[in-house]
Amino acid sequence: MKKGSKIFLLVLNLTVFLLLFFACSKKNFKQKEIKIGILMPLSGKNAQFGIAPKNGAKLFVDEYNKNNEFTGIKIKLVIYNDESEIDKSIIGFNSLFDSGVCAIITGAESVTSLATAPVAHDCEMPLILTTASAEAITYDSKSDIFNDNVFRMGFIDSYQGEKMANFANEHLNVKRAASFYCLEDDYSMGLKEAFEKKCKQLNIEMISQDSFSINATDFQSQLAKILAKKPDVLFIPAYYDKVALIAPQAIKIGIDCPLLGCDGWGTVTKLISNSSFLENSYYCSAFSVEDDEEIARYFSESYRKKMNEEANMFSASGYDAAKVLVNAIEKSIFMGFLPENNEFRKVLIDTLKKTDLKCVTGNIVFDEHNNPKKEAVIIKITGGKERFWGRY
Amino acid sequence: MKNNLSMPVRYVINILSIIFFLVLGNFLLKIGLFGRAQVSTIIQSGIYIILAVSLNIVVGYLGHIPLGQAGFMAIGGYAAAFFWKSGILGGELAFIIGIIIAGISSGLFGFLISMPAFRLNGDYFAIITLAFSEIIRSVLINFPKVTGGAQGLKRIPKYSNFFCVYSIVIIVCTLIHLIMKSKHGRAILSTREDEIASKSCGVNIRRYKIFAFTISAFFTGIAGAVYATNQGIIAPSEYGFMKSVDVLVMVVLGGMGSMIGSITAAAFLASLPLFLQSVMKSFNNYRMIVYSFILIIIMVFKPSGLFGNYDFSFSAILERIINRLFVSKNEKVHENL
Amino acid sequence: MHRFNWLLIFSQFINGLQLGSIYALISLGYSMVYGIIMLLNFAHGDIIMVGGYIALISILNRFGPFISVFFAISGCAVISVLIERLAYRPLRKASKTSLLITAIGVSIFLQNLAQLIFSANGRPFPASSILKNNKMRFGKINVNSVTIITILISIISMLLLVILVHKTKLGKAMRAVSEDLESGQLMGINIDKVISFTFILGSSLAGIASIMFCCQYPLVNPTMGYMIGMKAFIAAVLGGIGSIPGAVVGGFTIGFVEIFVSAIGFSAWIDVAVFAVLIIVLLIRPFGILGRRLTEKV
Repeated sequence: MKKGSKIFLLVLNLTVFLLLFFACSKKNFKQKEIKIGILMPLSGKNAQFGIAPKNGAKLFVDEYNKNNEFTGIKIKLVIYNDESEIDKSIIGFNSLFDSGVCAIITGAESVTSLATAPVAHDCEMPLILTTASAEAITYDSKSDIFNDNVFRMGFIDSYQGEKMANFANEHLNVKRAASFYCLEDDYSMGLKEAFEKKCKQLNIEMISQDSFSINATDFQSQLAKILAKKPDVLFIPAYYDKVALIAPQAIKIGIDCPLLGCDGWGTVTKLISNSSFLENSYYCSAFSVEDDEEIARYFSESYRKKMNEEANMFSASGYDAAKVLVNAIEKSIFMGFLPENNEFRKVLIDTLKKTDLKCVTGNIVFDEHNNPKKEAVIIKITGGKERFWGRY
Repeated sequence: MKNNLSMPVRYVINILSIIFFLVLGNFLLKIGLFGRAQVSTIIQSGIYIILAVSLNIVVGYLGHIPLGQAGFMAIGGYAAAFFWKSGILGGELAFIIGIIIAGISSGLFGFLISMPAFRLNGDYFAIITLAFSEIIRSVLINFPKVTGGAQGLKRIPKYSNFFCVYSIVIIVCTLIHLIMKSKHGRAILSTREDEIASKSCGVNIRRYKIFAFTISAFFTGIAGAVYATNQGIIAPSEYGFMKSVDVLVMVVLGGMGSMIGSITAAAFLASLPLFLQSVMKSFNNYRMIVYSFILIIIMVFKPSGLFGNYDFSFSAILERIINRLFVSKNEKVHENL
Repeated sequence: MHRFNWLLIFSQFINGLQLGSIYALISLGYSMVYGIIMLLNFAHGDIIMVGGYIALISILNRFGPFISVFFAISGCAVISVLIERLAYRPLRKASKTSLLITAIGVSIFLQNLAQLIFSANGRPFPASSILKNNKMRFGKINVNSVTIITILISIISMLLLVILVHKTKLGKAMRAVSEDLESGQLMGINIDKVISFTFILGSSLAGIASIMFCCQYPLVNPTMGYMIGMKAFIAAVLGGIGSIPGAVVGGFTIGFVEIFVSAIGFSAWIDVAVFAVLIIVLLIRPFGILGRRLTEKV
């Protein structure tokens, strides 16, 4: 750390120590400010995946600070816009590091997270990923590299792909499946591969696998081929903006089997010209606004009130990430470690590992690879709306 | 009589100042004067300096606008990454060999692309280079088993530090400077000025265009390799048209044809986001708008950019200082007659 | 071996016609502008994006379909003329490289401005407010009414353009200026007016193409113009830049190439295929299918 910061923190330390000494008898005192970084794309093409979790995290932190005025812990968010670019993410990480954050909430996208994870690992900075789904960010099975400082709130690609295959098998009685994926999108590719692998295990025949280009707007020739093969279900692991174009063309060509999707489908009904094109489609997500669990309902309502927009999976993940992190920070401080210590981040990592917390998107417990063990939410699109079908 | 610094003296001065700069920079970084973000920005600027001075060869000295630099960066980056990840060698030697492999691969592609591309004039040349760059990117995406597809290549060994990167910057700039001072450089410049006139003087235009483009691609590939090792991961999504435009803005802003212009503009624009993050948080939202606006304004009002054609010479400045200090009054009067 | 599915082939053919007609409309703009002032208007593709957004906003503000289309087309024309006045006209005497760089700057400026105003996410385009999309059956073949209308409107626009260029005084002036700008001036033609008019014409066609495109693919986002514009430019080069029938031929050819490549299963390579077409054309026959060879005078 820079010399100036060291002196400043020493003084702050002394001040806080003295103040805490008199804490019980005083009502107003200086709180210890703990910095959490947020490294997300806030502009550019992936801004929606970064702004929503940032808002979610901010909502939680504001709530927490309000409710905890007397515990002496105040959380401050330091925000950096990484514009979805790798070089800016690395500089952003370093900039947040220099600002003295004890952990960073990141993970709007896989590619940038894959770049920052090793850098964070080398300096033992805890990272909490909101929705990035590439498996290798936490644990890369191909090279057996485990970034133990990275914790994931969302699903990995293989989990979602397998889940949808299981769902199709169990609830839709599928025997013949087709997939339509984006070759240039690692998320789409990862999901498609996991789906197909699972289908093979479940004896579902993959009768067609077609791809589309990331810039494409016309899918009619591929869809015509898929139609000819007559699948029981069509799995489209893509983002909602592509689905909004694909689904109408599919229906117009005459495809009438159910469409299956993934968490990238969120808010697709807002973008599609006519939601009836998606009637009887299912996708899996981490969160639904209609979830009637109390904690989820409370979050949806306060988010809508504070941010003037509907909550979605991304904002819920941001909220949960902040919640898990602050919970771990609290525990670490109460164990006796102060944020100014050099070991604080390491202690934080150990505390995070032992998380067992009920959150908006489910009960968060991390497995041996720091991925969450929780159920998914299946959303069914019916009557033009994205409805909560259940947990699965 | 003016005092001129003789060539050997100039060489010594230049070499000493380079060594001084490198050692000083390294020292300042080692003692932790700069935070992590500043260090990575400084290294990042170094990479963009290499990119800008290589693009300047074609844009500034040759007078043609290619839009495909991102493709050469990608080739260099992937070539070096393949070599480094294969683990044949390790350490500093691997770094140097990787860089050379990157340069040669990019240079080769540059050579192949320039042969058809230079049959066309300005606008078409720009589009065809863009087309090649996009094809390269598509190929990198569409063979995931080899190139990692959209996710790219991960776990690239990290060799980059201030000393490595800036040594390369200095070597590249020196090489370009030496080339431009030679007769080959003069041929390239004459091509820019008036093609038909230089053809009639016996300059083999086509050969020099291909030559200029190839060495530009060579150095761009080297920059791509350093970029890859600096990040540890590269993905095709980074090598789009916008990346080429970023570098083009630097060269245009600095002055097409001026190496010091490219260096200054590259260093400035590469570090700008970090500067402004602390002052104006939302600058990054407006960055490309500002850049494109700068591009238009410069072209309309000052097409020569910041430095125009001017090329920096440390020795020339020293010369002037010496002359001003030590030339006696009599000699000055004589000069004015 | 595949058995020929004639129905499939015919429906792909219709798709090709539709895509091709959109490209043709846009490449006409490129061709005309290049023919007159030898400028590759990089920003032309982004005009399409502008048209789409204007139509979207207009419809969302409850203006009727006809008014919205009118707004979109005239909006495209106005912005195009503004760009010409502010960015291209001051550089008319400057080097080609300056013009090219400025055009690139304008294109990026438009894209990022749209991104700033509308955010990078796509917005759904209420196509059904403009055109009711009915399925029409011809025997066993399903065709969208939007497809038919797109093809018809494109053909009508091109015919009108040809009439304008060959039968009117203004058209004559355009042809004269594209032959030789200085001689045209000597003949008393108001160059500025003719150039402005060319831009208006080109971007109006782009505006129409934009509406047609959005009705078929109902999503507007800030970068939608980049790829479409690039492909339409390639179409113009293929057909012979500066030549109006060339632009039309090029547009349909590129449309068919895309659909063909996608139909044979290489949809991931569509962009590569189109770029490859460009490279091949530029190497073998740089002046395009219907273009004329230009020699440079010393």
